[in-house]
Amino acid sequence: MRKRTWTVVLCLVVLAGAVGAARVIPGLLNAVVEPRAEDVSFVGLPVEEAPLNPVWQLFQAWSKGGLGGGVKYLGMLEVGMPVPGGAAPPDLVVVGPGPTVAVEDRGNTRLYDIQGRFTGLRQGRPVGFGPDGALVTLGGPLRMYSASGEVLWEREPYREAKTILGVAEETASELVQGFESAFVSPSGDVYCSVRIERLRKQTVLSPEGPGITGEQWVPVEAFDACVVYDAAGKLVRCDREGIPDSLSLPRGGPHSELVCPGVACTATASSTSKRDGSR
Amino acid sequence: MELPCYAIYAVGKDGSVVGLDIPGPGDAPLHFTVYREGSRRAVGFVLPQGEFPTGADAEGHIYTMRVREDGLVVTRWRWPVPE
Repeated sequence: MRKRTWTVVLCLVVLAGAVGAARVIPGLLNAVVEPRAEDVSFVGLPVEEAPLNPVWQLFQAWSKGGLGGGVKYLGMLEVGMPVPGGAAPPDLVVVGPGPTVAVEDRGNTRLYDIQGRFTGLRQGRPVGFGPDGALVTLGGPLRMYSASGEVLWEREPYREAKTILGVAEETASELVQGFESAFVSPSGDVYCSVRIERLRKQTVLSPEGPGITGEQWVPVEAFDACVVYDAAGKLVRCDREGIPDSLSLPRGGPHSELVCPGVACTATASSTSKRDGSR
Repeated sequence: MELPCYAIYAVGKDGSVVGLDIPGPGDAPLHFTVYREGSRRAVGFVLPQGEFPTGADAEGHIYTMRVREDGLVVTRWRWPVPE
């Protein structure tokens, strides 16, 4: 017992000495680096144009019934736009470790290997890849799948945000879920932004004629909640603010970034709300 | 760090940072500029027409997709790095 006490005292003395010395002699424990302007600013540098070098290509032919069967893709007029007489091309393609190519197919995710072979179907549209090749999908619950397809965890951001933020149900109004989006940060955290709207029935003038009124659900309150989970599915944060603008570039995880074709990678998809919470 | 770009698209393990420049009007191709710690030069590149970026990795690759009438093409590219 006495020996242990002396050991603790000795450790404290050594620690106090080190901290004191570090204050007197800056840089004793950590090198103090003064940033130079040329190290932190890249403004005004000469830019030379260079070609991109292709490494490999994956070609995945549409199957007879379309990418996943059912609806045929008839080609496209513009990336991301619906095609007359057919369906829209896939909205989302995410490349993960392996590499694995995850393609959205009518709200679900189809996975392909680099040879273009179909390797699996997951529920929900692809959000991004987390550590160890785990795939995050959204559509219904937010899910994380292991590389072998096992559901590691699933959460319900809308329901959790309502509870945590204390959004009260009222008899005179209806709470609905609006647009929902998510991305996986490079550290593996999963950010989910969900629109919460309160609708109230209001009497409005009908366009059918003067003096004719009707009832309509009108949004009286709406906000974006940001719910963040760590890679293990544990709730890390829940705010009344949506995903900050600084993080608005959708990210698909350490190995990929999401984009919505048609709007390139400069913005998330439209935030148009839908009563059913789908996209 | 001060980067003259619209958004940081990717960061490589070699210290390179891929910035997305402000998109041009309409269908103008996306232009990226690569900066690297310790280098006082930058390298720019554009994606070929019809290619849309879908991802990047820390090994210096970006991924693009192109939707064709007969199928989907995903391409892995190595981004150029300033000397």
